[in-house]
Amino acid sequence: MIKEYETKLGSVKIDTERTIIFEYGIPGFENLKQFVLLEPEDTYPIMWLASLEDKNVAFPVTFPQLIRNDYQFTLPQDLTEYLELEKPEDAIILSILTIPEKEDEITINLAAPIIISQKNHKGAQYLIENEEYKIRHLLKEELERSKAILSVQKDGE
Amino acid sequence: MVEQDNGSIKIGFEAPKDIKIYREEVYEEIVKQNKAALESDVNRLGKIKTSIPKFAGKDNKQST
Repeated sequence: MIKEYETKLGSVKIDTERTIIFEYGIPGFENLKQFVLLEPEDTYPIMWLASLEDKNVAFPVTFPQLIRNDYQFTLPQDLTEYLELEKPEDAIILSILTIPEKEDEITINLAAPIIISQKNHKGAQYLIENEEYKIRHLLKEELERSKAILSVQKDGE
Repeated sequence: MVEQDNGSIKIGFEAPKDIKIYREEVYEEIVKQNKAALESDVNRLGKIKTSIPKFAGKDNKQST
């Protein structure tokens, strides 16, 4: 069923099947349960996890592996069961970006990614217990780090 | 931490308490960062997206 919603990106018509339920909320926004992933072409691969209940709430998100190309973690069994994940491809992993005025100060949250199940359309913000991943990493530094890793891989081929 | 005191045993909860405080602090940090993320400006995105590669490296894996 197509429904029209007011979001931070304006009025959007979306299929209700695309609704993602955050039953346990997102830290700081526990009262909001229904979100949608908006993928406007002009900002992709930056997308928006937008609330369908509060049009002021939309988090800019992107795929963390684009920023940190060796990003990996293991989800606990209770979460994989809750999200009905059988294989990694069943999940969409997103990291929240914080975009202040100065471009050099953009940060990405690699410690607490958003996990969305393509199986049951439920989502959660999960805290990875790995000191390697922080709540604030400078995007600039991460991109430089990933670029360096890729060039080493190419040289080795 | 366990210590003897006049025959009764006092049990300190220091270690678990520390862990709990640490988690609450981290939780508060996530809340803070989520709120800061909301202040992001849609109009600034067009510029920065060009610096993000469209496709990840070939060895990129996510395990569940």
